[in-house]
Amino acid sequence: MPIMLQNILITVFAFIWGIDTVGFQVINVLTPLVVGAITGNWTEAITISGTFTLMGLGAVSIGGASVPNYGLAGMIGSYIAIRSGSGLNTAIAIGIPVGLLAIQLDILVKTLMNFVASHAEHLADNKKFKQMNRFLYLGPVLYGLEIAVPVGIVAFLGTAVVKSILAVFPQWFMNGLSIAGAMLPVVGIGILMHYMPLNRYMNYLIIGFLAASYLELPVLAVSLLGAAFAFKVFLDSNKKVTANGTENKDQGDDYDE
Amino acid sequence: MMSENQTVKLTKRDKETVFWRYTVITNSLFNYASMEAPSLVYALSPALRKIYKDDDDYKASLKNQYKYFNTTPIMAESLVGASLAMEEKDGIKALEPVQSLKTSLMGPFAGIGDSVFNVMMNTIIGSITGSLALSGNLIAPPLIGFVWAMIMLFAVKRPLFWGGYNSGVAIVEKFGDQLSRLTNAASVLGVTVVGSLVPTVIKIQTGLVMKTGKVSTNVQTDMLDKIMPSLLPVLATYIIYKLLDSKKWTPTKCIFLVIVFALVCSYFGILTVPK
Repeated sequence: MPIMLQNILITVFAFIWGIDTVGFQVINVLTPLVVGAITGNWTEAITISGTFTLMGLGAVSIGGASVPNYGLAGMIGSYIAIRSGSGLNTAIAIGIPVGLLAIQLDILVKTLMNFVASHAEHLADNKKFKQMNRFLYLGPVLYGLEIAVPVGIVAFLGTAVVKSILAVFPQWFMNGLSIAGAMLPVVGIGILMHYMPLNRYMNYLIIGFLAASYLELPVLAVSLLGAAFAFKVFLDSNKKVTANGTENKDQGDDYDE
Repeated sequence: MMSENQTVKLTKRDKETVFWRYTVITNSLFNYASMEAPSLVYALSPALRKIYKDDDDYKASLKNQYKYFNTTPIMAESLVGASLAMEEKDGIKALEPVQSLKTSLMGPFAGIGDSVFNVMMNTIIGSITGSLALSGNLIAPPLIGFVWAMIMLFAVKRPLFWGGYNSGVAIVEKFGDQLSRLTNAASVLGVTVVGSLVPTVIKIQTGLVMKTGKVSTNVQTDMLDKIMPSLLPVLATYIIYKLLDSKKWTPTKCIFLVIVFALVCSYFGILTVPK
């Protein structure tokens, strides 16, 4: 496939992806397949996206907070890495900065959306209902652009520039990025732990750790183990239903901004 | 002006349209002022047009939906369904009850929905697909992701919408108790999986070699691993967890900290790229 066409396809897909992640949430799970189809390298598309999936665990947007966009990072990172014929190092070097930059873009879009919402309401005030309904499509369009613009910029101007920039960096720097990539899930897991009632269920945290580290059980097996405990807790809590008030205190949103 | 008792019956198709319009648009009108409210307007507007023949009534109903609304979108399905049912039945008289139903339930629904769906289930699915992808399995990760998305669509979102529509206000009693039990159970599952993520997902390895006389000791394999497997990931998790306690350390700052730390340790050869 010609490079120009690949760039156009990935940018168009990024637009759809941007709308899907804030809405339907079906197309985004197929991202590595699409990147693989566009670049022709399925293996690398899926393995690199796996790394980014793990990095992004727990880094979820709750209550409208803006978090680094690891999905976007994985998409553009794996695309550029495959295109330039380099590996995970490049994917992380490109993906992480774009994913972090996406926080600012996200805040910008959510701010612009204030005007979309207030203008739509204004149209309703004036009983221009059809016009209002059409105007509301600006929402998905802006969220699509939030993703398509950075992806387009990096894809079209990227590879050659990226390659020459990366060539300047010494080996320890590239290694450092790989080390950081392998460590980064720690932040997502740290955030997760703050959302969970750890104090009440500390024992299960330890059991989960033991199962995976000493017993070396795979994640699916640990999930089943957890499901078994969960079933018991579900049956037991039949008798004493905890009030919602205390529930929310335990899992309060610490990161709403 | 339509008489107040004359009720408009929506067809099944009308209601399905509301469900699909909401499910596709969900958060893509999210703004800082009214948050998710415009999405509800978009989803409900065709059905409301059928209910309110009078322009002023229709406008009043839309204005009502434009008021601040924010909860987990998945849980919001039931509130969309419930407000549709209430306005279909009582028309303009339902506006105030609809508003109070939405405002009173969006808080508790967000508490449950965010922790169960956004945090725990996404983590579990993500850790399974992520680790399968890393082990070189090309088919399973997208397949699991897709199956999960379909389960969410047809076994969670759609039943929630119809549950909301069919039970209306009664939804509080119907779901209230069940959901807090479900949250407890999901928390246990989530915490267990998080415990297993620390040693499997976080990879930190030191390349230090200590030389005492002629004997050289590999710090990673001969010392740390003997104390406890995944000792460094456990320490790192504890440090980041404690840092996040402080309001000053936002997740983004922690990410930068990890990157800088990794670069410095790479330069001095303290840490190596894990296998």
